[in-house]
Amino acid sequence: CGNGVVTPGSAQEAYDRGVEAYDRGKYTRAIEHLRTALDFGRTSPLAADAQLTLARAYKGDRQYLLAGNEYTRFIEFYRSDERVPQAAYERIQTYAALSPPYDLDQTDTERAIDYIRLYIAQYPESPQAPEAAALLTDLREKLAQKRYNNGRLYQRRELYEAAVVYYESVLQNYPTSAYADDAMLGALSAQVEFARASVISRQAERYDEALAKYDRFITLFPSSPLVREAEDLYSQAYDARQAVPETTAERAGQ
Amino acid sequence: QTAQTYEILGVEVDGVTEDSEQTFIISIADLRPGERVQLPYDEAFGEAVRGLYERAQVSDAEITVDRVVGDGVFLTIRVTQEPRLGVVEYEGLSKGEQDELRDRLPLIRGRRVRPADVEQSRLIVQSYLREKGFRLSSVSASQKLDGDRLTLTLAANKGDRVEVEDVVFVGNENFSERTLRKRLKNTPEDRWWRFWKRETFTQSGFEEDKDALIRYYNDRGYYGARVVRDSVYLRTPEASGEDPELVVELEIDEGPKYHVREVVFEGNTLYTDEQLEFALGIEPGDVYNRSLIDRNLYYSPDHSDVASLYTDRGYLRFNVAPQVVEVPGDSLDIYVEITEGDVYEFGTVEIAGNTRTKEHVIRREIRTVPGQTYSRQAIERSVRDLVQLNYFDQSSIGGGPAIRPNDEDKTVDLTYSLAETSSDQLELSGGYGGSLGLLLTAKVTFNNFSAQGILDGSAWKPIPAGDGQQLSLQVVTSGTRYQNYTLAFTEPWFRGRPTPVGFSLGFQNFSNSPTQEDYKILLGTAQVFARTRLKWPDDYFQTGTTLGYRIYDIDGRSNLYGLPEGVSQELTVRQTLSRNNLDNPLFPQAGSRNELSVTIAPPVPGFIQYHKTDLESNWYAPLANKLSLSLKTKFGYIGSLTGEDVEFQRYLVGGSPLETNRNFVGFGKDLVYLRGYPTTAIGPRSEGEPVGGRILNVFQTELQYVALQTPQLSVAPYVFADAANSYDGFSDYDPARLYRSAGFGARVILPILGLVDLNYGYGIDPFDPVSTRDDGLPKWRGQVTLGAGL
Repeated sequence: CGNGVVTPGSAQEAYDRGVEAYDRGKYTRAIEHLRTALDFGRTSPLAADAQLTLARAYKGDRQYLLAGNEYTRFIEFYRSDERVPQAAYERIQTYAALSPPYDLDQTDTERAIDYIRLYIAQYPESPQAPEAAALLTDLREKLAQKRYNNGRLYQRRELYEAAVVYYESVLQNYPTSAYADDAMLGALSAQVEFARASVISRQAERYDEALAKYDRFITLFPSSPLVREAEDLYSQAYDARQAVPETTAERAGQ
Repeated sequence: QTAQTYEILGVEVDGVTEDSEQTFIISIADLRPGERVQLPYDEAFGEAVRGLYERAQVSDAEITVDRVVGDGVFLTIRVTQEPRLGVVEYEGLSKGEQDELRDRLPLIRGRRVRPADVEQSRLIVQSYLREKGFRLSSVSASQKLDGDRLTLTLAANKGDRVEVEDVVFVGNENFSERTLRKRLKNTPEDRWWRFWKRETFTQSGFEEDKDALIRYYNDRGYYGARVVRDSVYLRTPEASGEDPELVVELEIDEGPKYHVREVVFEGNTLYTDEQLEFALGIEPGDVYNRSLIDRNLYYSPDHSDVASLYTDRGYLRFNVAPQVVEVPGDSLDIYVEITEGDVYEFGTVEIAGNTRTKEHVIRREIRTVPGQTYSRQAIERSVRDLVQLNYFDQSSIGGGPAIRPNDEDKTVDLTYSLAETSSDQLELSGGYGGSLGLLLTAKVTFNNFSAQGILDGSAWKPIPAGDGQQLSLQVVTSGTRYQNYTLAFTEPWFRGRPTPVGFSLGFQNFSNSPTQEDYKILLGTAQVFARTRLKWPDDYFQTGTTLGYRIYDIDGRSNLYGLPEGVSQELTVRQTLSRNNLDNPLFPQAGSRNELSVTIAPPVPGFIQYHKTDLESNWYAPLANKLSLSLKTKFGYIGSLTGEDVEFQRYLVGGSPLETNRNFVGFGKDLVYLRGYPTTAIGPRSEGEPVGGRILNVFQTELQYVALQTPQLSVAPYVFADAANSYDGFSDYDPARLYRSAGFGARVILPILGLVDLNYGYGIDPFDPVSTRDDGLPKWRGQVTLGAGL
C-alpha cells in the first residue's frame, strides 16, 4: 500500500497482505497490515476477518495480553459471526498462556479462570469444552499449590497457626485438588508441632485438635498414599496427649 | 394492553447513508430478522440503544416500529450522528500550554464530538488558566464543519496575570500580621526579590490556608477562633499602565484563650482512665491544643497514642471521638468517647504484583502473620521492611496493604500490592592508582538473584531473578601488573529460615614494574559461611561459622613483612558469637555490639598453622538528643598450635583502608586501622620491616553528634581519643605502652559514595619510620575512609 492513499481498494490490499504474512508466520508484519486494514473502519465487509486474524497474529507473536484484547473486540463487535465460539476458545488459551509460575502474582491466572468459566457456561456443548475444563483444572491446581506452599513456608518458620490457616484454605477453596490431601496432612503435622511447642497448660487442647484433624484426614482421604504418614502423626499426638498431666489438661478444659 | 411477541421481519436504519455503516449499526443493535421481540417494549430495544451509544458513538438513538404485519414487525433504527473531529485549533495559548492541555481534554481526532465534549473542553481550558493565575481570562469555543470533519477552535483571552500583592488581617490581637501571614503557605505575597517565583492565587490553596490559620489558633488555646469574613478583590494601582493587583482580606474573631478543666473518658473497659490520660498527655489546667489532642489520640509515630493502645493489640474496630464542651468562663471539658470493639486476628495475607520476585522472598519479610492478633504496628513494620528490600517501587508499597475485615469470624485479610523495579547495580569506573597507573573497575551486583534459576533456560531474562539472593562480581585491573577478581554470593534465608549462607572467591596478583627489581605476589581466597540468629539468651545473639582457604605466593621478594618466600597455604575454621542491639546501623546512639571469634588453622601437612582469638566490644550511650559517647575495645591473640613460629595473620596497626587498597600493603597480615598514624606504623619490627604483633590492644572513645540526617545527606561530626599497640608476645606485653592519638572528624553519608569518614588526628607517640613518606614524629595526620567505617 506504498503511497498511503486512502481508497476502498487499499483496505482489501492491506488485509490480503496481512493474511499472507500471517500464513507465513511473519506475525509482526501481519499485525501491521491488519491494523492498517482495520483503520479503514470496522464497518467494511472484511473487518471481521481482519479483526480475528489480528487477534491470532498477536497470539502467534506471544503478545497474549494484546491478543486477548483483540479477541474480545472480535467477540463484542461481531456477535453474530459464527466464529465467535472458536474465538472465545482461543481467548481462554491466550489468557491461560499469561498465567505465570505459582510463586509469582496470580492475577492473570484468576482472570483466565474467569474467562474459562464463562466459556464453559456459554458453550457447554462445544467439542472443546473438555479441553477448557482441563485447562481450568490446571490453573486451579496452580492456585492450590500456591496456598499449599505458603503453609509449608510458615511451618518451616515455626509459625504453626499461620501454616494451619493456609493448609486449611487449600481444602476450603480447592477440595478436589491434588494438593488437598497433602494440605490436610500439612495441617495435621503443623498442629502436632504446634502442640508440642506449646506451654503445658495449652497442650491438651491442641493435641485434641490434632487428633480431630486426623479424623478429618482419614474421612476425606481414606485411600490417599499419605495415610501411613498421617497415622504416624496420629500415634505421636495420641501418645503425647496421654502423657499430658491430667490436672493441667483438666484445668485447660475448664 | 398486554405484551405480545412478534417476529422481526425487517430492520432499516435511518440517519446514516452509507450501506456499510448501516450494516454496522444493525450488527451493533443486534436486532436481526427472524428473532422475536415483545411489543410495545422489549428489553432488547434498551440493550440496542445502549450498545449504539457506547460502541457506535451516536448522539441519539431510537427504535421505532415501522409497521406490523400479522405477527411480524418491521423496525427502524433512527440514529443521529455527530461529526468526527478533524483539527483542534488553539488561539492565545503557547505551544507548551497546548501540549499540557492536550492530555487533559477529552478530544481525540477522528472520534465523533458531542456538544457536551465541546463545553467540557472549554471549561477545562478555563480552569487551567485560572490555576495559572490568569484570573481575568475568558475562553470561547467555536466549531466549523469542513466536509464531514469538524474543526474546533478554542480561543483564550488570557488577560493580565494577577499576583497577590497584599494580605490584610483584621481583628488579630494576639498574633502579629507577620506571624499569621506565615501560615498562608499557598497564598504568598508578591515580593520583588522573589522575581523568579510567580505568586499565583488559587481558590483551593486559599481554603487550605484558612484551615491552617484556624488550626494555628486552635493549637494555642483559641478554641473558638474563626474567619468571620474573607474577601479577595482586584485593585488597579494608581500609577497608570501597571497590572491590576490582587488583595486578600481576612477578618478574624479570635475569641478567648481556653484552658482544659477536665478530661473524661467513656466506654473504656480495657484500660483505666489513668492509663488513657497518660497516653493523651493533657492535664487539667493545660492550654487547649487541637493538634496535640489529635496526635495523642489518633496517631503518633512512636505508637504512644491512645489509638495505638488498642489497634496494636487487635482492636481493629476501635474508634474514638473527642467532644469538646465549653464551660462558662474560658474553660473546656473534653469528653473522649471510646468504642473498643472486638479483638481481630490476621486472616489470609496475599501478595500481588510480584511479576519477578518470588512470593516466599516477600512473605518472609511480612510481619502480619495469619492467626496472630491484628496490629497496626505489624503492618507498618512490614511496609518498612518491604521498602528496605529495594525490589519494589516505594510508592506502590507506601500506602500499605488493602485491608478487608471479616466481622463474622473477626479476621482481617490483607493484600500487599507491589510494583517491581530493578535493584541491580552496575558500576564501571576508571581511576588513577598511584604507582599502578590507570585502574579499571567493573562491578555488577544482582540483589535479587535466583541461583535456582541458573539451570532453567526460561529463567534467563536477562538473568535469573526473584529468589532474593545477592550475587556480585568485580574485576579491577591495571593491565598486566595488577588484577583483582572477586565473586560473592549470599542466600539471606537458607531453607526459608533467617540463616544467611554464602561464599566468596577472590584472586589478586601484583607484580613490580619489570624495570625495577622484579617480583610478583599473589593471593587467592575462598570461603564459605553460615550464620544463625539465636533465640537464647536473647534474639540479638548470632553465631557464625566460616571455612576459609588462602594461598599466598611471594616470588622474588625477600623479607616482605617477615613472610617466607614461595607458596604458603592455609585452611581455617572460624567460629563467631556476636550480639548486636545497636539502635541504628549507621549512627548508633544506644546499645552495644560485641563479637568473639576463634579461628583455627589446623597443622595439616603443607599448610601453615595458628590459632587466633579476637574480642571486639563497642558500647554506645546517649548523652543528650543526637549526642552520644562510645567506647570501643579490641583484643586479639594469635598463637601457635605446634610451637613453630606464626608469621601470617599477625596484627599490623595504623592507617585507613583507603591507604592499603590496591597496593598490597600488609600482605598476609591482619591489618588493624588507627587514626593519627600511617598504615603499618605500629607493631614489632624485624630488620626495619614491620612484621606485626601477636597480641593486640585497641581502645577508642568518641563523642559523636548527629547534626543532620536526611535521605539526601547525613552528617555526624565527632571528636576522638584512641590508643593501641600490638606486641610480639607475652614477654613483650605491656598494656601501658600504647600509641595514642586524638583529634576530630565527621561521618558523612552521600547518595553516591555511601558512608565517608574524614578525620584529622594527632599521633602523640613517635614511631620508627616505615617509609620515606613519614618521619614518624608526633604530628597531625588526615584520613579518608570510604564505605563502612564503623
